[in-house]
Amino acid sequence: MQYLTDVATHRTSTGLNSRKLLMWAFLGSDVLFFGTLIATHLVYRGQSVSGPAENILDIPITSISTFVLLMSSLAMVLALSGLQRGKIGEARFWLAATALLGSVFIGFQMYEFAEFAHEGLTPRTNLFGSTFLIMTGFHGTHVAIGIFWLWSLFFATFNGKIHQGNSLEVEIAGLYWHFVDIVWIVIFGVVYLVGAYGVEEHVEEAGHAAAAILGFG
Amino acid sequence: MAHLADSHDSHPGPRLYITVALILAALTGIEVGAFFLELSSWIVVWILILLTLTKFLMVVFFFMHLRMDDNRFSLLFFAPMVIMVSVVVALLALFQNLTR
Repeated sequence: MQYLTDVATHRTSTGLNSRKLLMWAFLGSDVLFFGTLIATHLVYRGQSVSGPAENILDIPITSISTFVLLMSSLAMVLALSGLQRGKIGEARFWLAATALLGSVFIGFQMYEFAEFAHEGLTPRTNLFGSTFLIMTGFHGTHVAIGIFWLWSLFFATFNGKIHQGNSLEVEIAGLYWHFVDIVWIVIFGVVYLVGAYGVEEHVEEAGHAAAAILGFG
Repeated sequence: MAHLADSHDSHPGPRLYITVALILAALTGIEVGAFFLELSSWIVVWILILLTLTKFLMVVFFFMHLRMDDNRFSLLFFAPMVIMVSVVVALLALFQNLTR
């Protein structure tokens, strides 16, 4: 308990908490990681020569899972807010809610993957399968790690290791969880929705339209 | 240094967070609605990109507290973001030219 308090309040030459700095640096590197996966998927989109591809995506189901993950972000920030106000019971409730909503999201993803497999789409089927399943699979792995982290914080509230004085512990986990949420916001928007229109053609088309409006076309 | 620069005594309360979450949910609804609209496809694409960007920034600034946190955290996060967006745009442009 003393250790956790010490690392939350230690003095540094930058004036920034080192662990929080580390988390932001990690998130910065993870931006590049997911950026690479998303770019690879977009580049190879529409180039699969066999098997099911873009038209297999189920937008209504994914909209629900997106909503669930968004609400888990709300639960996460409410857990932190509760802890910072010294309301440990509230923090505990919202931590559990966040983990449960994350589990529901994972459930949706497993359902989606099972449906794809049922329709013949696996990572080995074609370029769409490889790039899409690896990208969303890595995101799901991040969510799963986050769920374990959240449950560990939840149980730590019972033995006094997490309390108002070291809310930074929950804040750092929250940064990770919200990052997982924003990655999904981008994947849902760019890959599921925009991608369904054929991103390359329409970005080009939109560029021509913008040029025409500005008088360059 | 008497106190850490990243201390958070001024975090907003639950009401703001719930408002932000409701806006995020509404924007997601608009996104899905726009997807099924019979509009010109480039208009829908730009609406979707704009809504995605808005949701992204709302989570980053309100839920991750970058709005009120130290600017060096923003730099650590947004610098790779600029690189990432540049890479995506460059790759799309490159492969579009190579494959069409």
